[in-house]
Amino acid sequence: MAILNVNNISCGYGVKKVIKDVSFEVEAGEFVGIIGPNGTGKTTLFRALNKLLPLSKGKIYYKQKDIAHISAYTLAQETATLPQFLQMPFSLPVEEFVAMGRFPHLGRFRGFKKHDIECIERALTLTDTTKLKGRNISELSAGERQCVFLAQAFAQEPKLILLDEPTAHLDITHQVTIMDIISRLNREQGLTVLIVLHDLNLASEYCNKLILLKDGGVYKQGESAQVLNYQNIEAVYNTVVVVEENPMSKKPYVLLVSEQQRSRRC
Amino acid sequence: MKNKNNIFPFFILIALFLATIVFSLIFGSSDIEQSRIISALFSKGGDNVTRTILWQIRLPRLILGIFVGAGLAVCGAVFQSMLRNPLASPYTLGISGGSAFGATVGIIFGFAGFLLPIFAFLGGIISVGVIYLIALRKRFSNSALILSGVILSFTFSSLVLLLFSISRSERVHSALLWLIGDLSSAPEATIKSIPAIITCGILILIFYGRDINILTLGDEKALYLGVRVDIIKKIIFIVASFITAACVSAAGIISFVGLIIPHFMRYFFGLNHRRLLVSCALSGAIFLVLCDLLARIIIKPLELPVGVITGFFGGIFFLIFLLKSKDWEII
Repeated sequence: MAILNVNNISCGYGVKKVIKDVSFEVEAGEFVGIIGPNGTGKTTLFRALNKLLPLSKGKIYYKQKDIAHISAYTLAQETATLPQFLQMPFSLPVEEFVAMGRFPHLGRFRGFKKHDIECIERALTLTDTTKLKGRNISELSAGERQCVFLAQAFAQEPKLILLDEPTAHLDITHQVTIMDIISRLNREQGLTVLIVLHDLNLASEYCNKLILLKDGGVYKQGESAQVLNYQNIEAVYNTVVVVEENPMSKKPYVLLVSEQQRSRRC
Repeated sequence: MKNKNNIFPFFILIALFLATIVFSLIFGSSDIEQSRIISALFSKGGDNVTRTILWQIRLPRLILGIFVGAGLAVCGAVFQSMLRNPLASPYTLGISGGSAFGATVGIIFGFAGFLLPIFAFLGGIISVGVIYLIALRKRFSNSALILSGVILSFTFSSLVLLLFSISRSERVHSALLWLIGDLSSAPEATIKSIPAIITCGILILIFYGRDINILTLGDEKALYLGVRVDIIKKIIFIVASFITAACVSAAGIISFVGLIIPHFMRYFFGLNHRRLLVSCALSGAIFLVLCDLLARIIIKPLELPVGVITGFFGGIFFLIFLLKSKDWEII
C-alpha cells in the first residue's frame, strides 16, 4: 500500500512554478531517493509535502488521505522532516534538543511520561549520540550535529521520514554513518524513507528506488540500475560521466570525467 | 537536563523578590527613620506622613516597577526566541518608537497627566498595526518583522526630533525625561490597570511556552514539528506587543531590561520557555525595582530617572557576564 501518493502536483513561489506535474508513489517500507541538479525543485517538493507551500494543481495523499485535510500537528505525529539547513541561535544541551522531537505527541500540556523518555533514549542510542548528552549543540562538529538532528527526528517516532541532503558537507565516515543509521531503521523497523541526495553513488548504494528530477518534473523513476545510466545522467546533468558497476553491491557507480580527459578522448 | 529541571533556583528568585520589595519600601529619597517605616509597614502604627509616603508614594511606584520590569523581561525573551535573534528586545519591533512619538505629541501639545499614557499607548498600537500589516504581506518572516520594526523606529524618532526642533525647551526637557524612562510619573489610573494587562499577557505567553520552544528552531522546522507557525507567531507578536506598549506607556522607554535579563535567565534556566518566562518575570521585576531604588537614593534628596540606571549598570553588568561566560558561543 502506498504510504505517500503524489498525484500530478504543481507548485512554486508566487507565479514562478518550480514543480511541474510531478507524480510518484512511495510504498510503506521503501527507501526512495530523489536526485537531480541544483534548482530542480527538490527542496520545494519537500516543502509541498509538508504543506509549507500551497499546491496550484494536484493532490498529495498520506495513507490515502489528502494532506490538505490533515493538520500539521497530526502530520508531525507520523512524519518527520529534516530540512537542509537547521541552525540554533541559542545554545542548548543535546538531550533537550532531541526532546523537542516529542512536541507533536506532547502538545502544550502533557508532561514527559516513561514512553517519551524511552523514545528520546532510543533515538540517542540509534544515532550513537548518547555520549553527547550534557554537551551543547553549539560545541558539536558538523557530523555530530547532523546525528543529533537525526535523533530529534527519530524521537518523533515517525512512520515516514523526509530528509533533505542529510550528508551534505560531511566526510565519508559521517556520510556512511548517517546513511547506515537510516538504512538500519528502514530494514529493522520498517521506517519509510524519502531522501534528497546529491551524491549519486550514495543514492545508488542505499535506495531501493530513485526519482530523477529535471526542471521541476520527473525525468525517470525506478530502480537504480534503470535510472543511473550514462544517457539519463548526461541528459539531466549536462555532464559527461562513466557509469560502472560497484563490484561489491553490483549497483551502478558514477564516475566523473574532467575536461582534460574529455578532450584527450576526442 | 537534570540540573535545569529543579525548582531550587526559583526559590532563590522568590526570596530575592520578597527582599527587594521590603527594601524598596523601607529606603527612599526622603529621610524617614527606617524603624518608623517598618512599624508602619508591619503594624497599623506610624504617623500620617510616614504612612502617606509608604502607601501613596512608594507602594504605587513599587507596583509599577514590578509589573513593568516583569513585562519587559518576558517580552524580551519572547521576541529574542521568536525572531531567533539574541539582539532583539521588546523595542526591536518599533513599539517604543510609536509610543515615544505618541507621548511626545502629548507632552508638546500640553496633555500631561492621565492622558499621557493613553497617547503613548495609542502611538505604540499604531506602530504595532503598521508592522503587522507589513509582515502579513511577507508571510510573517523574521527578517521582514525585524527590518520593518527597525525602520519604523527610525521614522518615528525623526518625527520626535522634528517636534523637538519646533517646541519650547521646557517641554522638550520633560519629553526627554519621559523618553529616558521613569517610574515616578504614572497617574493612578495607569497603576491600577497596568498589573492586570501585563499579568494576562504574561500568562498567555507562558501558555504558548512549548510552541515558543519549538519556534527557536526556525519557522520551517517548527512547522515540520507540528507548530501552527502562522497563527502562533501572530498571537505571540500581538500579545507581546500589547505588554510592551502597556509598559512603555506607564514608565517610558526603560532601556536594557528586556535585552539583558533574558540572556541571564537563559544561562541559568535553559531554553524551556515555561521556566524561562517565569524566571524572567521575577528577575525583571527584581532588577527594575532595585534600579529604581538606586535611582531614588543615589543623589538624594534628588532622584534620577530609572532608565539611566538600568542602561548604565545593566550595560556594565552584562559586559562582565559576557566576558566571564563560557557557554556564550552562538552557532
